Amino acid sequence: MVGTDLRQQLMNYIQSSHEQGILDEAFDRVKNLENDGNPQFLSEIFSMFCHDAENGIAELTRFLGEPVIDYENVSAFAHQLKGSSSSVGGHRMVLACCELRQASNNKMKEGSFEAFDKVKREYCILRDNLTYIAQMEKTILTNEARRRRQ
Amino acid sequence: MSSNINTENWMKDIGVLDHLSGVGEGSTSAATKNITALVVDDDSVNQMIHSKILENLGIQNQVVRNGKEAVDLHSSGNNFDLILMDMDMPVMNGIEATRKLRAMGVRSIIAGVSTCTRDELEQKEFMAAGLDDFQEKPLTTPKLVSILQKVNKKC
Repeated sequence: MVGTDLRQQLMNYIQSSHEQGILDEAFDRVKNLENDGNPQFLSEIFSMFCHDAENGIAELTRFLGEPVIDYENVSAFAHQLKGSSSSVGGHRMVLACCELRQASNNKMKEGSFEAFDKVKREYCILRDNLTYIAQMEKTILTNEARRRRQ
Repeated sequence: MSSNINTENWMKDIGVLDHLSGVGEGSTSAATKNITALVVDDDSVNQMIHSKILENLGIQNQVVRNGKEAVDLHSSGNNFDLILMDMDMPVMNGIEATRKLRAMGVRSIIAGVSTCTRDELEQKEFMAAGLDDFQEKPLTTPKLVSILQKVNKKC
């Protein structure tokens, strides 16, 4: 059946993301919070995460672009990004944020730039993963609702 | 294994497990219906997740963004059975907010919820401010159930 195929496809995709270290068990816990009462929950969480992450990255770009880098603020925003990435299970992004925090705590300019590049790369990968998963989940739930009405 | 059975039995006792399984929906026990909670966290993703975990357990909850908003909410006469208090927040952090709430005479169960910190002194300071419990993020349903056992004992 199409529905089963899509579910299996989604499961395989999530499994692959786990194997690549992109997602961890925190993602599974968030996914399991979704229920019939709020099928949009995953989409909402992921949208909120992406919105906050992009704001955080914009602030980091600003602070790291200053002639005199405010390492305290860089560290604070790296910590914030780490927190929200951890909540959605973005394992590799969490690690990248930790590296940035460490580099900024040690006031290492080159290290901070390298770590920030990594944060941005991992964010793009995580964003694409979460977007795909949310879209697949929405398609599956829409199809299931349609089948129940028939 | 035995702790999982104990958790399930306790959750059945207060009607929480029935609510999760969908059995007896609409017949949640008085204890579950009457528990109220306040989520204090500056991160909007964590706010949503913690609120959802509480909601799935049938617990009415409100969300605020920092310690000052939590204090102001109590100053205007609100009270809650449970407060989930993040540590690092702008404006007023969890340590200061907990101290202020206790000084105001707030007797709610306050559970500190924070990222794993190697700074043991900071965690001790947080506990000493007046916490009843501390759980590392991410908050999960089993962790919340263990906090709720303290609410149940107090009621």
